[in-house]
Order: sequence, then structure tokens, then C-alpha cells
Amino acid sequence: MYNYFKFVLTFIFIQGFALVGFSQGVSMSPTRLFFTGNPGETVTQNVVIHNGSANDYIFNINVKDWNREEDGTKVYFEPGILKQTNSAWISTLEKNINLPAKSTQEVLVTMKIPANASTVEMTNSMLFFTQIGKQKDELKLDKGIGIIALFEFGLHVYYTPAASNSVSVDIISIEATPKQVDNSQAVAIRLFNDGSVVNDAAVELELTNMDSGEEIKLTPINLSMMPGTYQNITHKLPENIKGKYAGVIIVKMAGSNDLRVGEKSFEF
Amino acid sequence: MKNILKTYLQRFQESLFLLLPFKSSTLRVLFISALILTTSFAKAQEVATKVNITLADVLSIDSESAANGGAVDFRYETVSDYNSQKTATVPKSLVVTFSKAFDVKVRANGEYFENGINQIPINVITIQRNESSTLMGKSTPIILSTTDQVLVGSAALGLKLQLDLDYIIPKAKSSSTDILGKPAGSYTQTVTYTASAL
Repeated sequence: MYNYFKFVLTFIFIQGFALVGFSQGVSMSPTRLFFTGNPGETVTQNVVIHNGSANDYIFNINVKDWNREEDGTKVYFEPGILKQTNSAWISTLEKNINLPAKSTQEVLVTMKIPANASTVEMTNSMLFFTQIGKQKDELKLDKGIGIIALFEFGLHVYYTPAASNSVSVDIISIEATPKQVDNSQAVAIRLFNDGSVVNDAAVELELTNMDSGEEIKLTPINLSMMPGTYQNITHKLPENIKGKYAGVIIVKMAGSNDLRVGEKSFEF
Repeated sequence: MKNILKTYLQRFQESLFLLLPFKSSTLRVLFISALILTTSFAKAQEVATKVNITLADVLSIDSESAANGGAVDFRYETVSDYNSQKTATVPKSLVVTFSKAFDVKVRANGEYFENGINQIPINVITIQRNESSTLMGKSTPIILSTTDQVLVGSAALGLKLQLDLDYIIPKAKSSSTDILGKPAGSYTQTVTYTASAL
């Protein structure tokens, strides 16, 4: 009975997602491509783009380098600039795709792993599907300032060497940040990805008032880190928090049952 | 022939240690049948409850999004237009479905709003997330530029998340020569909103 219940719930969820998520707009799946293989090999994956709308679209496919700053922000660069780039390894059969209304297309993404590629270091790039404006998108404005808005999908592309499989992250520091002008307070956590693959993690902060025993659980913060990189995250604290608190940081990593736990006492 | 089969059956039964307590052959046959039926039933149960679910990440931008060839207009026709801050709020600038945490960036596709040879720098526009948005995440007002800037960072996954945007031209810009004194006409530029996984 329980299994049937689970099945029905799953069915409803998938149907609901399909109807809401795919029917009325332009969708892309997956949103990240993880390639693996040995130097010298050529590997491929499909990206599915679906146009459930009544409009026709044209997308330009282009690739850029990117890295992530320590606050988690992605920064894009022209292809081939960064050390860990794989922009030059990526290709698609077409540079532009026409996506008529109510149609689906598969785009084959090919990665040619160079013979001299590192067998230990990950590489990355970002494949963009950029909407190209059409004649009818032009502004009907006789005078004034006008903005024409278009949209773009960014698809992460990673190459993970075949032998890389270590999922790990280290908590470097946990600090209360100085009180801001608006009296807001926060706890800053610094992490380091000491594994060998991309680490997707959720960072939780639980605070327990040492006098009253009151517990505060803050909304987890999601992050994604390349191996060998640092990331700083900030948990904003509730307004007017005051007193001595015991803080517990829990880092839950996707693809692993391991947790990382850190503890620190605070006085706010 | 019957005797040969009976001998083989007897040997087979003797080889099954479990059958020794059953003295009569009828009981032994019933026991073996029960074993086979139980096993088959158990297998049937396994198959009936086995459900495979394959989930793929998906990102969708709805066609009802204003960022879909949509336009935002600012008109400067009177003295008070030039001497005040103008805000254009565009509900549903983006309507996004994402099965993972994500962010939204924005960039202009040129340095200027252009009208033939006449130009207005794109940095006259500030964009910010309106509080009415259901797309939540880290967001601060940004001054439009050709660099990709984070409009909403670390947005949580969800269905049909609505991003309502305020486009602002501050008084300091409209009363400056960036806008004031420019020849009358329509100045346009395209901006691109990028959605990608965290």
C-alpha cells in the first residue's frame, strides 16, 4: 500500500513537472554536462531543448571560460583564457539552431579530450544558448529610451579525469562578522574543496541559546565548488539576536553520505 | 520407463535433505510444489513493486516572460520628466522553472542606447529585483553594463518562479547631459538575461 502511495505521488509530481515545466516555455535539459574519459578519447552527450510556446526562437550556441570567485559568483571570460579551460575541446554540429513553436531538438555536444590532457585536474567551460532577437522584437517606440529583453541558457561543461572520484570539503573557518550599520549580524564560513571532483553541498547553521536552550535553524545555503578552490558563505542572522549561542555548522555533500561538522560558540 | 523415472525421482528426493522428514511421496510433491509457488510469488511481488525513476535537471523560461523579445519604455517629454527619477516595473520579467539552485545574470549587448549616430550610455539604467518577485535569492541593484552581473544569486529551485524587475533612471542621470539635450528620437539597446545552475 505504501509503495503504491509512493508511486502515485511520484507520478503526480512528474506529470505536474512535465505539464508546468515543459509546456509553455523553452526548456533545456540537462543543465550541467559532466564528461569523463581518458586523454585522446572523444566523448559525446545530448542536450534536449524543447519549445512548448507558440513562438519560434533562434539560438546562437557559443562557449566561454568561467571561474567562480570566493563569494560564489561565476565570472565569464573569453574562451581559452583560463588555465582550467576546456572551451577548445567542445563542439556542436551547428552554431545556430532554429527552434520552431511546439518542437524539440537534440543538440549533440562533443568533447575531444586532448592526448596531453591532465589525468588529475578537472577542466570546465560554459556553453551558452543565446536567444537572437528577430525583426518583430524591435521596439515600437517613437521617442524615449527602450530596452529589448532577450534570454540565454548557460550550460556548465565539466571534464573529470577518469580516476578522479574523491568527494570532500573542509571547513576552514567559522567567524561572526562585525555588526553592520543597519545592526544586521552574520556568521561567515570559509570552505575548501579538498576533493578531486565538483562538490555540490548544502551548508546548514544551527544556533542554540546557551541560557534558554532556544534553537534557531537557518535556511541552508547551496553551493558548488571546483576542486582546489575556496568559497565563503554568509548566514545572515535573525534581527535582534542577542546572547550566548552554541553554533553547529553541517555541510551535506551531494553524492556522498559524509558530513562535515564544525562547532563554535558565539556571543551576539 | 516408469521405473527408471521413479528411481531418478527417488534419488533426487533423497538428495534433498529437507525432504527426509516427509515419508509419503504425496507429502514430498506437495512440499516441492509449495516451495516453487512461494518462490514464484515472491518474485512476482518484487517485480510489481520495482519502480525506476530517472530525473534529469531541467531549466525552463516561460513564454509569458517579458524577457522574451519584450520591451521597456522610458519617455522624456516634459521638464518634470527630466527632473525626476523614473521607474518602470516589469512584472514577470522572467518566469523560470529550475530543478536545481541557480542564478540569473544580466548584461547589455552594447555600450549605448542608440538612435542612429546619437547615443545614451547604458549606465543610466539601474535594475533591481522588485519585492513582489517569487524568485528569491541574493540580490542587489545593479548598474547596467556589458559585463554579466548577478541580478539574483543562489536562487532556490522551484516551479514558475516569477522575477519582477524595476528599471530605474535616477534623476542624476536624466538631468545630466547623458540624457538631457540629446536629439529627440527612439534610443534602444538589447539586454540579455542568463539563467544557469549555481
